[in-house]
Amino acid sequence: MATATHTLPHAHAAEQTGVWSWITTVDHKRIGILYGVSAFILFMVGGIEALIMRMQLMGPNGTVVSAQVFNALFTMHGTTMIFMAIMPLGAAFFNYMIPLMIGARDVAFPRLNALSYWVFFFGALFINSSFLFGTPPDAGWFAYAPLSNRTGTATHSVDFWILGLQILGVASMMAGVNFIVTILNMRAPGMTLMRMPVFVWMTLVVQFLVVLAFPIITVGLVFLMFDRLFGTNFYIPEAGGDPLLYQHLFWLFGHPEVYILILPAMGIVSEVLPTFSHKPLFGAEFVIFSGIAIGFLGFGVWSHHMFTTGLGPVADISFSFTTMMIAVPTAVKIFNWIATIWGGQLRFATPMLFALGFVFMFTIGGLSGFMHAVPAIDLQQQDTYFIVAHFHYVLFGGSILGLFAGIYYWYPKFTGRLMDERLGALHFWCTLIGFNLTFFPMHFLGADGMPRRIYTYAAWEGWSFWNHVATIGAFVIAVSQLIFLYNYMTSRVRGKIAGSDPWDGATLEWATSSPPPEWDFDRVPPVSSSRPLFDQKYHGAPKAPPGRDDGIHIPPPSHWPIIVGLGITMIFGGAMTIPAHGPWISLAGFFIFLAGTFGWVFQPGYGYAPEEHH
Amino acid sequence: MSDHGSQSHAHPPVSLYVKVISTLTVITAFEILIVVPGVKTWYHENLPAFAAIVVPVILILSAVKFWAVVYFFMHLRQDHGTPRMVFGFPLGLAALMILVLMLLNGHFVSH
Amino acid sequence: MSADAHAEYTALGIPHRKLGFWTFLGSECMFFGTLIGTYLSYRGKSLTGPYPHDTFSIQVTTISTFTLLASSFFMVMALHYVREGKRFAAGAWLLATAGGGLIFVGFQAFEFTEFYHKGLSLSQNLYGTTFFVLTGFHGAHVSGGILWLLSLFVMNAQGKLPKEKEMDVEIAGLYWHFVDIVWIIIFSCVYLLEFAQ
Repeated sequence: MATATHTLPHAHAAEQTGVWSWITTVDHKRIGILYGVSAFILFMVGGIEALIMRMQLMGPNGTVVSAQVFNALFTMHGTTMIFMAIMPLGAAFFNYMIPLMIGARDVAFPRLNALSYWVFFFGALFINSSFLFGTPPDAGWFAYAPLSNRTGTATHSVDFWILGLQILGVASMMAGVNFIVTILNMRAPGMTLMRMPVFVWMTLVVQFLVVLAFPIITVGLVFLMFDRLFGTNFYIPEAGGDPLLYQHLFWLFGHPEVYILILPAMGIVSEVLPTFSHKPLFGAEFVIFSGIAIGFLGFGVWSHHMFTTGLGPVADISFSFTTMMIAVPTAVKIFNWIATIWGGQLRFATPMLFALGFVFMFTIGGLSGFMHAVPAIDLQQQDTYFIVAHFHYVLFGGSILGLFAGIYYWYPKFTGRLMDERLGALHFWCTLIGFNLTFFPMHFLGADGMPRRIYTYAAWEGWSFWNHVATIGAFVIAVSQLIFLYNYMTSRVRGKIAGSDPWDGATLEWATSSPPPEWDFDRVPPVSSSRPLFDQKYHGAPKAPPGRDDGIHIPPPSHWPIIVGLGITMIFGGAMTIPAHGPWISLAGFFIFLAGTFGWVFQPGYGYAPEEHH
Repeated sequence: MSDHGSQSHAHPPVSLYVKVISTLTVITAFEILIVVPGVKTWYHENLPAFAAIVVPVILILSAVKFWAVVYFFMHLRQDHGTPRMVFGFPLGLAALMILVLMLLNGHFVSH
Repeated sequence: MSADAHAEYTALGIPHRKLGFWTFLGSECMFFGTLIGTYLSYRGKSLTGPYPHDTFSIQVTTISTFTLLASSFFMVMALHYVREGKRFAAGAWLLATAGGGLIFVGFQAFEFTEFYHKGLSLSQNLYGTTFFVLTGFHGAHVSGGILWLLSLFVMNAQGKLPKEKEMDVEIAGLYWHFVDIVWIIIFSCVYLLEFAQ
């Protein structure tokens, strides 16, 4: 049912509507929207999981949920937020904005792009389906062996987690390759690497981190799965195996993963701050190089998550050193952002509020992180709420606030309307207050000895007051998001029309209509600096000639990505049933995958079949 | 349609590939020869200096074979710049990771 | 993979699919690096037998290694003839490459069965675990490559591999050579080191 490829006639038909057109879309903008909507729904699922935990911990001797359910809640909250909320929210922006920002008309591999989304979609469904089976993952979001191994957990809960992550990992890896090729190879003429927007640079670094780090966890999880399914000995001490190997492999991935989570938000902030300060980004090259340095150094710090495992002084000191080193490029960025707004004509529109919130909150998170870098201190802080405070400051106060800045900033571009500023400001302040109410007290609780992952505590511990405050804060956060949702949905119909360039931006995405046509640009604008639109608007640089390029090629929709995605999901998901029921689901999935791949390779309009010419 | 872009390069002649595969075959044959039990006993008795370096020799020869296949068969000789970087950097990182994992598991250090 | 009515524009002058595939091979370096790193970290730490020297056979390994090496050469020749537009020769060399892979996998299967009869299984001890998983994943990669090559052979037979499509064969070649160089490392780190020490 794929339509033939077409080059645009002069009067074009509007992009198709209807569910099938969304299922078969290969348009990066639509795929971006799919990611964004899915991610936000899952963000709310993760939020509900958090709220239930906060209700359970509100006072001592809580009876809201059992210990067993609580284990599943903190496991799924973390897993959901990291893999199914923050990462796909980032992917939403990569998909929608990257081609626009580099003056391309789509990504390098449009169908692979769609496949990444569908695999993510099925993976998220798969791992959450565990709730329906009564065995949600419950060994923590990192599922250390031996708890997660065959004797530690006999139910399928960990299997759901392992296989779910493998599926999600496949999606990320394919997107990684896609965006690396897109960014390196599809930049408009004149856009050298150093003229790319910082958001594009951070995305490039992130995709390299994905491509390099995910294979490590893939193997580490394969080992765990084989231990559970086939009785191998990777993490079995009785056979000479080492459970600590799991931690090494997990964190060799896990640490680059946290930079995967934060760099996109840093990129967004690097776009928003200059726009609303009416000043260029201070030291853009330094911000870019710092991002690269963070990515590279991020592979050398992983055992700072393992200071309490008895690695010995040499390892402890080495990783402590590398961890402190990574604070340097991070600080460089913060100073450059502050220097950007210093002396600028500041407009406190909602994107700017969130970007400023990011700088402030992320700095706090960075400071607590720096403390953990000292093994002696970390011995006190590890596995307490102090760590919980740290990573929420960097992931919520950092990534989430940064991503919200992006949503408010680019909402006009993908909907054509502006969000309401007063509701936006309200959302920001309520979120900021609620967030600090929830997580700042966790520094106190952690310093006071409250461990992580406990489902309740006694009254005599003295933790009741701050837990109570934190729970109130959590509800404030939750209600604030309702303000956002209301604003998002009503602005779509009632928002002020935005036009192509509502913020007086400098980069190429503002050089096309809001929303852009299916082919993104009528003509790709000429580029001769890192601020091509400013050059055109204020420095007399030549604009693109009027009219539209000839022979713009639009890849036809395709149903093969969703089919191949289903096959991949079945291959992994079916592994869980192998010991009891045999490999039939995986085998069926493999054939679906194979058939889908052949259909894909030979799809008309995509290379092997002759094109229709108009 | 394939696009060789701005690099127009003539493809190397078949004779080059024959030379490469012949060299690789000889190297592999040598690697196997020096681990055959009879040969091993011989140089352990008569050439102890070689016996001491046999492991590094094997590793270096393997690295040479690795490089030859990548450089000649996979055309990295002709594809300058980006392909070398997107492959070379992960290769280096992987090698480093292998060494660090071994180190963390007690290898290379005497206890 | 968008169709090219005209040559695709590339900022770096490299076709998208080639650049993408080299990137994928970079990720595969990390994948096999983790497997090999684990094997080497656990080397000598198996608490019970059978041990490598109880199981390895230099003859079997020699044959399979030379076969895979030769198949890399066959692959180069296949690409050469696709570039020349010589359909029959291209098909023959593609088949030879796939055949070499099949022989390699055959000998791997034989080796695995021999080891199993000597008492080595996935779960027997640490050596069985690490050996079978490492070489098993490599063998699975070879098998995938064989499928790929046979598909190309069929397409070539149907006349669907003209010289304009040579990059498709080149990319299959990149995969095949990569699988060969991973074996070069496995061969030395797993087998040769054991024989030499």
